Amino acid sequence: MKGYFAGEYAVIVVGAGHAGIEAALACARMGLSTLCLTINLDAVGLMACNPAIGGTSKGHLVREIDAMGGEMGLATDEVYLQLRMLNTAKGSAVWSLRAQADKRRYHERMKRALEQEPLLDLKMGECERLLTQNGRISGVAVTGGAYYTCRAVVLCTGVYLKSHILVGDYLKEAGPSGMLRSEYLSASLEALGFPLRRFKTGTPPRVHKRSLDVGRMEPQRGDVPTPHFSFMTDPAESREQTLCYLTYTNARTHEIILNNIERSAMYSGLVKGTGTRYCPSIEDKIKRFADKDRHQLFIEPEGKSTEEMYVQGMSTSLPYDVQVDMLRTIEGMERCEIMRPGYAIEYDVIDSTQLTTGFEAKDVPGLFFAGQLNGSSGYEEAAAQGFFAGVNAALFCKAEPPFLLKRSDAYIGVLVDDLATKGTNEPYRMMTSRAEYRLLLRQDNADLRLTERARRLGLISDARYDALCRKRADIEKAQKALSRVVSPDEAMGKLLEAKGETLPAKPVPIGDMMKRRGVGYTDLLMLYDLPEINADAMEQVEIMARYDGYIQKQKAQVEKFHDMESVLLPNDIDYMGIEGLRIEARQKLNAMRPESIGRAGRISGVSPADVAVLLVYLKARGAMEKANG
Amino acid sequence: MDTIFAPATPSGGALCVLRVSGPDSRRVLREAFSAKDMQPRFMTYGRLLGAAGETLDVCMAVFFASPHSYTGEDMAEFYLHGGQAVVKRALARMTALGLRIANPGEFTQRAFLNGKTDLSRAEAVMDVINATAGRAADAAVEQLAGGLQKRITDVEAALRAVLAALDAAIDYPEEVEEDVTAALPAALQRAAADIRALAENGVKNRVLREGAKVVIIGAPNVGKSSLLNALLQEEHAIVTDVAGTTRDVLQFDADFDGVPVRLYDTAGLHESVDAVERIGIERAWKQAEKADLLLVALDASRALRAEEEALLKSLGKRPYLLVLCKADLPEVLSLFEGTLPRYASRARALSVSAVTGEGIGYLRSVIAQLVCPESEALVTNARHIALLQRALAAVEQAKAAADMDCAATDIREALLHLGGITGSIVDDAVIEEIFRTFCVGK
Repeated sequence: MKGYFAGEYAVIVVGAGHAGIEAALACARMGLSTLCLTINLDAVGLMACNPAIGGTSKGHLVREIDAMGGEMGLATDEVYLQLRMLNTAKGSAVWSLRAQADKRRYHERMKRALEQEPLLDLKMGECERLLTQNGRISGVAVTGGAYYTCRAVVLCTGVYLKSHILVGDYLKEAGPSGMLRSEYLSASLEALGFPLRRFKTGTPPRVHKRSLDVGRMEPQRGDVPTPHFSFMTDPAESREQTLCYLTYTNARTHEIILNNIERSAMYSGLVKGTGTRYCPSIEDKIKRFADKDRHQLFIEPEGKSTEEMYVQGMSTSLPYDVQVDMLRTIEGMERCEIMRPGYAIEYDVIDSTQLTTGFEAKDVPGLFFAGQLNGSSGYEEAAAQGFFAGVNAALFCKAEPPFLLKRSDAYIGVLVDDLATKGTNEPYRMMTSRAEYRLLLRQDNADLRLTERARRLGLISDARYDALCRKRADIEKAQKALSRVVSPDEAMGKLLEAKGETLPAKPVPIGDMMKRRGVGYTDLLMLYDLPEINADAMEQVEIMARYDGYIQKQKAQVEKFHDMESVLLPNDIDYMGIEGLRIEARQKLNAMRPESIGRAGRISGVSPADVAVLLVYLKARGAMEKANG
Repeated sequence: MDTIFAPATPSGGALCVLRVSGPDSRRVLREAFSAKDMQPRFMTYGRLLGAAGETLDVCMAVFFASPHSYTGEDMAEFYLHGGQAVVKRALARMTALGLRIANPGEFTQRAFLNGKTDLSRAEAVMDVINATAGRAADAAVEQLAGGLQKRITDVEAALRAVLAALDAAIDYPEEVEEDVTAALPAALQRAAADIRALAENGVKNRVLREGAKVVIIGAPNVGKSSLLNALLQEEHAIVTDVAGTTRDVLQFDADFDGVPVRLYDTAGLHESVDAVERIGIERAWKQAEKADLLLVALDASRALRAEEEALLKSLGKRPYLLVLCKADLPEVLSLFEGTLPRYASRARALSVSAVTGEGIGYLRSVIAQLVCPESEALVTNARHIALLQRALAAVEQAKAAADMDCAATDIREALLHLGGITGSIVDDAVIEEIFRTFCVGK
């Protein structure tokens, strides 16, 4: 081999963005020597787009990463500028936490976390080529001649693969925010059998705060008391929060955009990649929703050490002069000065259906993928995948079975299954509507769902585990006490009357009263002999009572779902030869090779009848093998 | 394993064998059959009982204990009187007991999975499953013809819009400025009423009550009027002129094979500059929109004209039947050559002659069958009705739900059940709808 040997690691993580960070930390914390390579050390944990973490469903992902010992939640709690719980009026299942975060401090916080991790080396270098031996990953070659050997690689290259920046008719071969792009890895991936596609995303301009008249915008405040992402952050933690501002586009803005639409890189034909509905440019919004006379714009601080303000809602690839003109039509922005123009970015992605549900390449053992390279969008989606792929790369090195999350376990499970089973034709964004067991997968119970499992991986500290055990014990204690049946009496009548409810006719379990509007654990605590429990546990007990019927129903659905997930399909089935299957199903199954019957049924083009045929086929095959012995 | 049921005999016979398989079979007998302490594999005389203990039918029943049954599971079989009303009540009772109507080939599949049939039959079983699924699909399409499909997809679309609005508001709390809950109660109320009407009456009852609406359309002079007369002749139909519509749409009541049919003759559909005629054509199209069945009249003695081809193309998914008139003249337009097979393959097509009477009687019974399917419809029908009932229950629960996330969960469930009839996939469609309707995303 040309070049020089630079070191040996168990795992090499390529990229130190949101996916790479979680992947590298998970591997190192699971006891493996890990190298994290980044194209630029000043881009570790770069928030190239909005200065926010969390939001609907994304907040769920952050909680889940945190519940399993990941870093994103802890870091965000340290560097937030503002924290808000969204959707509090829409039901517990869809409460979602969102933070405005200080970008620079987030980068520093994450870089430090990587630097301080004992088994982890963080190095600058551009991965040029993946090295394989007998079809398995054996190392990576870096531009400049160095090569490292390893047993597993996790690719977390984000939007850097052969990326183009586009502003109007200006095209630059560059990564985001003026970073270098990755030049050579695309060719190496294609040579290994990964056809690449082009996806596109974009970001709005940043403006100088002093050029804004924020007094004419609507201020947006954070929540007090302050909610947090991490189950480990002290709930009492609180500090002064920074304001965001709301303003709107208007008819004049729309006119300027429409008059110049052909100068947008998106509309001139310069952009070749597939954009996303989840992150439309302002051009798209105005074209597609012509009847809407205004669009919201949130003006968000990029950090405490800068005056740059992010114009959320204004993602664009219009030329610089048009960006200036359109922004200056907006109330409070008449004299605004752009510091960085908005741009579109195009980049290479793989087809995520080439991955197993452990995010390993089906055809290249030891090669794992995570983040935007898989066709997703968003920091949180990337971090979740990074954590997941990192854990599985570590287990691969330890020759242990993969760590799998089902759609009924976590949003991460939904994310992974959607990408690996259905694939995506546009940058994929997590949504609560994608989670069919949404009422079970709440952000408030991420620890109860996942911490125990991550403990077995060695990712959970004693302190975190003790907190979980206390919470579980509290819940159990309370539920036992709440199951006691009591007769309706005057005290109960008073309480219920105060809440606008009527007294039950028959004796009821104490807990049943929490099914009524506005009746909480603390109300009952005053009436009955109930244990004092932690606020966290109290929240769980209340939600469990209020959602009881729905929870039971979803649990029954989950059980049915598990039945199908647990029937495994051997990897060597020749689907083309199964006569009972329709042709389309044979082709799809042959290409995808799903691990289970349940997954097979989620592939588009596989009907319930095909699934029934597969069950029969499996049985016949099993009997045959037994007979042949 | 859940417990499934299905009629094991074709409908319309003197007897109906209702088969139940699964762990709840004993419970079904205990709760829905009057005789107690049944000995396995002995036929017992008794009564099929409703939820309140009322008698639904006087019948026989057998219990088969696992593994000594066809499927290898606990099974029950009821030998009911074959009348439609009885069977319908019995099926509704099974649903109410929490049973699920069997999927195509599911009894056979269970039998195989439980080792009740030998290995050499595996392929045959797989064939049965897909063939039955195919047949069920055919039956479903047939049944969904008479306008029922459109009514279900309408409810589906309405619920999907509601769910998309809720989910958009949930997933984009800051960007969706519209108040999505305002329209919710009315929309759910409407959906519940529509589903209830569908579940309780079904298309057949409506047709029997109101008559099926069959509209004849076609270019001028292809023989529409002769066709109408031929269809009405022999039937001694009461011919009524509906006042005010005589110039453009004529309506006649007839009875085909016991099915009441309301025949509409329309003005010739072609581009016209004559103002009066144009109004007539518009009315004709309006009638055509609401039809249970369109009879598209074509002249077999000449080639297809451009406007006729355009008409065929515009039919889309409407239920229609191609009628080639003037079969007594030398054939120019063929069902098997040229462009016609493209349209004929989607619907049935047949040739008739008003002069010789050839094909007219057959056409009548085809019309009757299409607008009021009788045959294999029962199984499909029962499955549909069960799904409609589940959808209805879910919508009712959504109406009572306290929180938006619960309401959304219920509506999603209702859509899943309706999707079991129409084949639509809920999640993709809802997400599609969110981004079509709402300007969201950062």
